[in-house]
Amino acid sequence: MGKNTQYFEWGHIEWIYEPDPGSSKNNMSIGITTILPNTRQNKHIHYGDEQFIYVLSGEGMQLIGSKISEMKPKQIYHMEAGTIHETINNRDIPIKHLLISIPASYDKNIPFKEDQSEIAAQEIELDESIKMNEEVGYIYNTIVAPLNIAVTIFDEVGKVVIQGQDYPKTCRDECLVDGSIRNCPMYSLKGEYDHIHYADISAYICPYGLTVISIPVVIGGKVIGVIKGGHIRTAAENSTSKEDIVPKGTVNAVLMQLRKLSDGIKNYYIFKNEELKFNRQENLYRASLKSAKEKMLNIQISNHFLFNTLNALAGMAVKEKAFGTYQSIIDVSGMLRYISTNENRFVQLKDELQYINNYTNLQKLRCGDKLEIIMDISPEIHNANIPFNCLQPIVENCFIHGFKDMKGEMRIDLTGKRVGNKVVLEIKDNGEGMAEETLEKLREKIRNYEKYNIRGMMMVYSKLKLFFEDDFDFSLSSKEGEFTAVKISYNI
Amino acid sequence: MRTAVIVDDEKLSVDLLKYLIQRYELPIKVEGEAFSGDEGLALISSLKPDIAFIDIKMPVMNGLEVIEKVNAEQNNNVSFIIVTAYDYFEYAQTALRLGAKDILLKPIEPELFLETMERVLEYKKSCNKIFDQILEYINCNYCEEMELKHCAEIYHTSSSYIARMFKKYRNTTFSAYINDLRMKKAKELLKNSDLTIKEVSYKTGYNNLNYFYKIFKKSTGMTPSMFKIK
Repeated sequence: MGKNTQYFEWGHIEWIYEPDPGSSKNNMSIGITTILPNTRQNKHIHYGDEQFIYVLSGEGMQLIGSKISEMKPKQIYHMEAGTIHETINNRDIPIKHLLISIPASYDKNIPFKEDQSEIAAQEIELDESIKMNEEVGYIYNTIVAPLNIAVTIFDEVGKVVIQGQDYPKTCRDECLVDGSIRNCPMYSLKGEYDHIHYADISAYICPYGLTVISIPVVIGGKVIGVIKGGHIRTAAENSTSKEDIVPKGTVNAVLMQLRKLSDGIKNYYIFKNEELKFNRQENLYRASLKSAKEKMLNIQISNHFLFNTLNALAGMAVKEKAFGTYQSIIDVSGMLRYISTNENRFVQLKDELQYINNYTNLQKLRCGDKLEIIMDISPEIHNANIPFNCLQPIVENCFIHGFKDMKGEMRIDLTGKRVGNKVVLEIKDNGEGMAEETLEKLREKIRNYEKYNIRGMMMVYSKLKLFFEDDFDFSLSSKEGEFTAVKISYNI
Repeated sequence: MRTAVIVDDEKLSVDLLKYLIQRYELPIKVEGEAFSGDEGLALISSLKPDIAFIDIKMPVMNGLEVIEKVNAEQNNNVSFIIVTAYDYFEYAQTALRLGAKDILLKPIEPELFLETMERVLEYKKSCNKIFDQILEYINCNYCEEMELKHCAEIYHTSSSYIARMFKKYRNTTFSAYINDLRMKKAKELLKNSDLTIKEVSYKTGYNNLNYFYKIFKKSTGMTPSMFKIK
């Protein structure tokens, strides 16, 4: 008989097919059980596996639950998981039966399966507040409770989160786990046996011959806790005969259930982590929305006063024959009115251009004749849509960066035309420009605007992204000492 | 020449409007100023101006109420222009319902002011002063007998010069321009007043009712009575 034979006091099971432990797709174990004459397979419970038996030869008595029946060749028995059963061979020839064992499935109410979840597929950055805690009790109850085996969950520092029940007699007698489950030598393994060192399932045989399975719960490379349990006897060694030896199928089933428990817990915390992140983001948005609303309200309250005052100033200016001042007041109020009445939505290009006009008129106050603004916008795109306030920040950048140390003539060319189905806008200054390296850095920043405090060019880019998703072009070019140009194009 | 009053509780705002009227050399004579709603109402009722510039937020009575009260009076045909710092949709809606010609936002933008005034004057200003004066004369006197020769005499110029200017600035003729204006006014009166067709005909400068019918039919494709009930 091969190495896949498991021996018991009552006979043996020769496993002829065993599932690949690495695959979740095959779960079935098939074996041929031999029950020797005049022995009995003691009353036992198949904790985590459902079994099918087909009697090949021999006769005897079969007890399933509380039902006793005579066992004969060609008879078929089906045992649900958790059923007590016992086979008695009261004849002189061995009973042989084909045994098919399938781990029972208890995966109801588990948030999601790892392979189905997009969230789980991402690289997970676990929030600090995510700790193994009693919240996973419902998963434990769903998966472990039907098994009637002892399983305890520890957090990442080894504190008991959920204490197992149903410790076998050996544990209670030899290690006095009823006093404290910490008395179990398998629970106080330290150093190299500590769970941290094992990213995968491991099993230990305790001094009294019981198998204890240890499964760490790992999320994003971080161990958040460990599941230890089983306490089942798989071989006769060190046997105090207080428990029956369980067949391999049961061990597999227990393993599978514990792995399921681990996955369930893992998924629960991944989900919780995402929820936490989402809520945090949402709270952030709420807070900023609230402050924006308040700001808006303040602006509205003072708008009337502000514009009335500007009107009075205009009256004063013309009285003093300061007609340039009057125009500047109109430019300032034009800008204010534009910002305060438009929200984040589409405006017509001509309105946006008027806004730039107001802005550059005011810049001319400071720069005088050194500043030249050339606008060449094809009339056919005057009514085209553009996200509100998309161009002014770019023009403003010309002044902030391009003309920072300029002494000579400053020139901004703003061109707009329709090319096929697209609006193509370009803003180009004759400013300082930037070196290739700086340019590349800026491009990178713009592309990854989400990581930064959004201002200027990044704000424009984020807006285009918001309104057009990926259906636009934004390109930045520059030559040190010569120019900087921004080109935007999008479908009309 | 049109007459106007300005109702605004801020003196500087009144001054700004007066400046703008002068800057664009508009044929508008400001005959009175008031600095509260109630004074404004009294002023408009007594002077019966062609145009009233009126603020909304004012002591005692707001501008919209003033307009409503003036509208309730008889024999008033004031073109109201609301001048306000409020950019509220509700105000614009109310103003429109009350028949205001336009809303100007404070601080008043010169170009927008001109656009509004051209709408009220019902003609676009040209860069020719004499021509603008003739247009103004026609727009104020279309209900009278109107002759090119007579018009030339008033403005000390020749008929052919006026004819050329109409061709140049409006691409039309003197008589066609007057006819169009009269038809526009007749349509307004038919739609918005209880005047009889005969009264409308006289008010728009047609002393011959048959001629009015003929011209109206030619211009609109229907008779005045059909137009009125349409």
